[in-house]
Order: sequence, then C-alpha cells, then structure tokens
Amino acid sequence: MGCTNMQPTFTIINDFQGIKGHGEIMATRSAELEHALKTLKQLTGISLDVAVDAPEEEEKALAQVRRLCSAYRDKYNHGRFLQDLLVKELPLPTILEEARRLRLSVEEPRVLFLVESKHALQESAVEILKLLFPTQASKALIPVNETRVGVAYALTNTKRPPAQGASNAGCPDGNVLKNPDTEREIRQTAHTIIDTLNTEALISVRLAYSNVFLTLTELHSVYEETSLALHIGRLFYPEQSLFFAGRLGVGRLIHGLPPSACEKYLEEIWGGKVPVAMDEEIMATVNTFLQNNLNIAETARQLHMHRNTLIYRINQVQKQTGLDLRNFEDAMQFKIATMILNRMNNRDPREQ
Amino acid sequence: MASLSLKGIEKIYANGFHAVKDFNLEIADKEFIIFVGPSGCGKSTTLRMIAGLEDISGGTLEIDGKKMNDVEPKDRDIAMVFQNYALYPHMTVYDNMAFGLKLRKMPKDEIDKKVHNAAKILDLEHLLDRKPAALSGGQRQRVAMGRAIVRNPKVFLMDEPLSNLDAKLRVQMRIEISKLHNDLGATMIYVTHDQTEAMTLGTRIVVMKDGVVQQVDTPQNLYNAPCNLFVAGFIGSPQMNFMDAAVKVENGKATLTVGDHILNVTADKSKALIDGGYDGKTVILGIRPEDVHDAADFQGADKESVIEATIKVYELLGAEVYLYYDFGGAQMTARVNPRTQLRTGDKAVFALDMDKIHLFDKETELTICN
Repeated sequence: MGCTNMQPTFTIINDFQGIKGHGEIMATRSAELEHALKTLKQLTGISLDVAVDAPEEEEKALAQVRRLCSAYRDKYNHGRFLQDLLVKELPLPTILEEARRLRLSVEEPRVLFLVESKHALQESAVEILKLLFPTQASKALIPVNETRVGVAYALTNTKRPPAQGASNAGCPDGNVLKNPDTEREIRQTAHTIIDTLNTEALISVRLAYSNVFLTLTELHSVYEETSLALHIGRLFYPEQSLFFAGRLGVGRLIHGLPPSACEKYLEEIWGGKVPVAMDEEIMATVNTFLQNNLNIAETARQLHMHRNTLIYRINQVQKQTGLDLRNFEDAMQFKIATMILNRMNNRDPREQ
Repeated sequence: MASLSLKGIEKIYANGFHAVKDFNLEIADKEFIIFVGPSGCGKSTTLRMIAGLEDISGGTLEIDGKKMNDVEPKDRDIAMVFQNYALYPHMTVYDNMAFGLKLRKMPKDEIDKKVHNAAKILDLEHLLDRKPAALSGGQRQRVAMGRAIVRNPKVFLMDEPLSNLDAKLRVQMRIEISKLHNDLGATMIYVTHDQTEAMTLGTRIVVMKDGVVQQVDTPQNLYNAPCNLFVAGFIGSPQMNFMDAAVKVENGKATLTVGDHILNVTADKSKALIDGGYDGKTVILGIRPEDVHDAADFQGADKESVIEATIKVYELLGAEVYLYYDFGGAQMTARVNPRTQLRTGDKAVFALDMDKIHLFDKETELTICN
C-alpha cells in the first residue's frame, strides 16, 4: 500500500497491494471513500490521500480507513466512559486516568439533566439535545438506555460556589443552587430542554436535574439521586414533568421508609383490608376535597355534584378507614396513607 | 386548516389528581381560541392533550372529524410554540427553521420553499443567514414561530409563547400574532394566564378554573356578561368591584342596601331578584371601575345611586386616573377622567351606573343578572 500523506506525516500499515504512491492518485474516488477520509480528518485532524486504481483496492482502503475511524472513536469515546461513570462506581484512579486521556475536565461545576421518555427516544431527540448544547455535546451528552439520556452540563459561565464548596452533591453547604441566579438559570435550561423536545421532536418527556456537583467523580452518586427524583416524581407527582433532585418534599421521605413500616402504617389505617388500589372515583373526589382545603361547598361545586353526594363519599372513606376527612389531622393521615400505598404498589422488586 | 371537537375531555393522573373535568368545546376552522385562567387551572394540560403530549383519561378529541385520542403527536398535524423555546445557537435562522423538516426527511427544494415562504410572512427574509445571537428578542420569537409555520400544520398550539418577553415586546408580538392569524387563516389555540392577552387576541375565550370550564364566549360578552363571580373578577383590569348587598323588596320593587346606603335597581334587575327569590337575602353586587363616575362626570345620575367616600389613593396613568376608596366594607376602584380635581384624602361623590351593575348569588357565585 502506498499513500501520500499530508500533515502530519502518517503511514498506514498496508496489508494489501495496489495502492499507488503520490502522483498516481486516481482521478476519481468513490463518494464513500471521500466521506470516510473526511470523517477521519474530523476525528483525528489527520489528512490522508489514498491512491487506488482498482475497485477492489478501493474497497480495502475504505475498510481500513473505517477501521481507523472506529478505533479512534473507541479510544476517545467520551460517551462510553461517561456512561460507565454514570451507572457504575468506578475506582478513583480509573476515573482520573480516563478523564485525563479523554481531556475531560474533572474539577468543573456541572449539573446533570436526566431526560426520560415514555417510549424509546428517537434519534431526532438526541440530535436536538446535541444542537441545544453544541459546544458541550460530545462531552456532555450521555445516552443511558433507550428511554433515557443524560446531559452533564458544565456551568462554565455561572458563578463558582463559595470556597468551602463541599464535593458532595447532596451536601447543603456546598449547594451552588443557593445562588438564585444559578438556580434560575438551571431551571430555565431544564424547561427549555422539555419545551424544545415537546415542540421539535413532538415527544413527551420528564426531566430531573441534580444539585450542582463539582467533580466528575461524583457523577455516579448524582445520577442515582437524579434517577430517584424521576422515580419519586413519577410516583407522587405524575402531573409534573420537571423535578429537582434537591427538592422532593414528602415524596422522598415516604420513599425512604422501610417497607415493613409502610405495611404497618397501612394496616393501622385500613385494618386487615388494605386495598390493592384506591377507587378512582373516590380518589378523584378526595383529592379535589384536599385541594380545596376541605371545603365541601367548593368541592361539590367543582365536581358538579350535590353536596350530599360528596358527604356520602366522605362518609364511605370514614367507614373504610375510620378517618373523617373533614378533620385536618385525619385528612393528612389519609393523604400520607395513599402516598404510601402508591409507593408500596410501585416498589423496587429488590425490596419485595 | 381544521376544526376541533373536544367532548367530555378528562384528565386524571395516577395519583388521583383531577386536572381537567368534563371539557366540552367545538372549535371552528380558522378560529383563534384562547384558554385563559389562573395557574393550575388545567389550560396547559388541555392543550397538551390536544397535542398528544398527555394521555386523555376520558372523552373524545377529534380533529376534522377524526378521533385523535390515541394518535401519536407527530401524526396529528399540529405545530407548537411553547414558552421556553430555544433556537439552536450554532445554526442560522434558515437552518433553525428548516431543522424540523430535515428531521422528517423532506426534500431539500421543498424545505427551501417552505422556509422562504415562512420567512416572507414573518419578515425574516433578510435575516436568514444570521445566527440567533445576532437577532433581537422579537426576531428570535419570530424565528420560533417560523419553525411552527414551516410545518404547515392544521392547528397551531401556543402555550404562553410571550411570557419570557418584556412588556413592550409582548405588546408588539401580540399584534404580530394577531396579524399572523389573519395572514395564515389558521386554527390557533393559545394558552395564557394574562387576561389582556386573551381579550386582545381571541375570537373566543375559554375561561378555566380548577380544571373546569367557566365560560366560553367572545371577549366582549365575557366582559359585559360574565356567567359567574370568578369570570367577572378575572376578566377586566382593574378588576370589577365587589360588595355585599342586602336585597329588600317593597311594593314590587327591589332595593340593595350596601353599608348604610340604599341603592335603587333598574326594573329588569329588580325583576330578576324578585323572580330568583332573593328578597331578604344578601347578594354580591359587582360594578366595573369605569361604571363608577365622579359626580362632575355623571350629572344625570339618580341621586339614590350617589355615594360619598374618601379617596385613599390617587393613581394617574396618563390617559386615565384610578381612584381607590372604601365603600360598604370593600375596597373600590373608580376609573375616571384624568382632568378630575380629586386627590388623595379628598371627600368625593361617586355615582354608580346602576344600569351596568352585575348581581351574583352569594352561595353559588352564579350570575343573577348582568
């Protein structure tokens, strides 16, 4: 094989004959080979001219250039490393070594946006995310699985946290989101991701975002936290599409309860007859009643029902549970019980 | 373009939250419909159900007579413009507008035609080579609109598209959207919490509260004939004045007592009160600020409708003056001529235009008469 090299000097180890040296380059090359060479230049910065004078030689040259591209991609694949880092706990030296090799900044404030779609995310959605973060796309976009993609967004233009900046993502002392400008910016970015995917890719997504974290080594724990936010959001706040991992309210508390404690609480409320799921009509009525601060007239009006029907339904709940929803404490207990029931019905198989 | 039919649309989330309740609406081809209401009233959820971004829990959605409940968003022939739009920063205006079509693998020449058409409508032709950073806020907003227009959809869905703009630009864009509707002859559904935006843009307005449609009507009718206390208070700025009024019927004629003032009502309103059995009951009296006149402005007023009050705040807005005062235990606003001599602390005489008052049932909050 002979190949002419431009800058920098480069030699391909040839395993086939027939490629001519400089000066004997074929006048025309297939579009495929041209494209492969262009891709190689984009990936490596290396320009190659390949001289071939027979179609089979060109085929071999094409295969070799493609292998080169693939090897380079593999070696400098940010996505794969970040994906590993996201889902696994890697040893610190490995993280540092890989980050150095891939020229990834380890110490940099970042926030993780985790996007989840009900159905498989189409290529177009990933393409849109790349375009939204053009300068960071190769280092920030992390496909997790077919329905999830993460964006480890570097806050290069935002204020750094106070010097004490703890390295723990969940640590309130090191929480950059105390800076309202940063919080607003991050939330705005999250909204933009959702709205752009809605309007451009025409897909419905949920998004959870993390606290600001300061080193790449935290990515795994941040991912766990952000995944939990998506899970809790789906479970307790299905009407919302945006969740902040640092503010999950009572949902986090209930999610963190041991199953045995949950079971006991449910037994206390329903005795031995814990329902598999709440009656949809009753739940809709009770929820409206709670939303209206236990106001019977307003709830009846909103539900277009006679107040006696509403009272009958409230009495039904009282018969089943002993809880009088007109009483604040009982209403609160019922609300918690339904959240726990929801949590138990959707618990992780490992807990069962 | 297209007509839409929403029959008994419901949205109940898995946690039992009932976001939209029995939503019924027929939207005609080329109509500009506005969904308006306070935050959390279900307007965006309804729009998202139309778009296919939210599942419909109950009821039927039809576009051009075809049931759409289970049709994928991309197959509904709709285009959306939402509040937090983003232009792709490294792409030109042309490429930003063309991107959605490229994703659909549309032929290049067709894309080119559509982009240029949209750019012409939006007056963006001279900006097609620019990057978003080189555009003003209004121009960026127009590019976002352009991305929707190039899709040539049956229905445009807009969710608070102007919320992130400053007040001045919002007014300008409002005019442009209105013009766009006329130029495109498209069916548009527009969500906003801003009643001014609703009143100025819509051919019909859907007022929502707590997931329930309160009233569907033209802007004029909503303003003049609200169906309940909520609509009366939500539409209009400054909002309608409300006060409790005790009804007394004597000699076949009803009067309203507010504080220690007795107000005569017109014959038709008197009849509505008597027919409704309100004698001896308390109702809510509503009157718009422009229907409260300073005496000099309203010489012919019935003396029974004249009240006295002390001005608490004088607010000059240039073309008009708002005077704030207390009456019958409620804070009232009068919108008067800027030439008024009244100032803060002055004792004023106001005449209520009794022809324009609205009466509401205190318990159901429904309108007794307008």
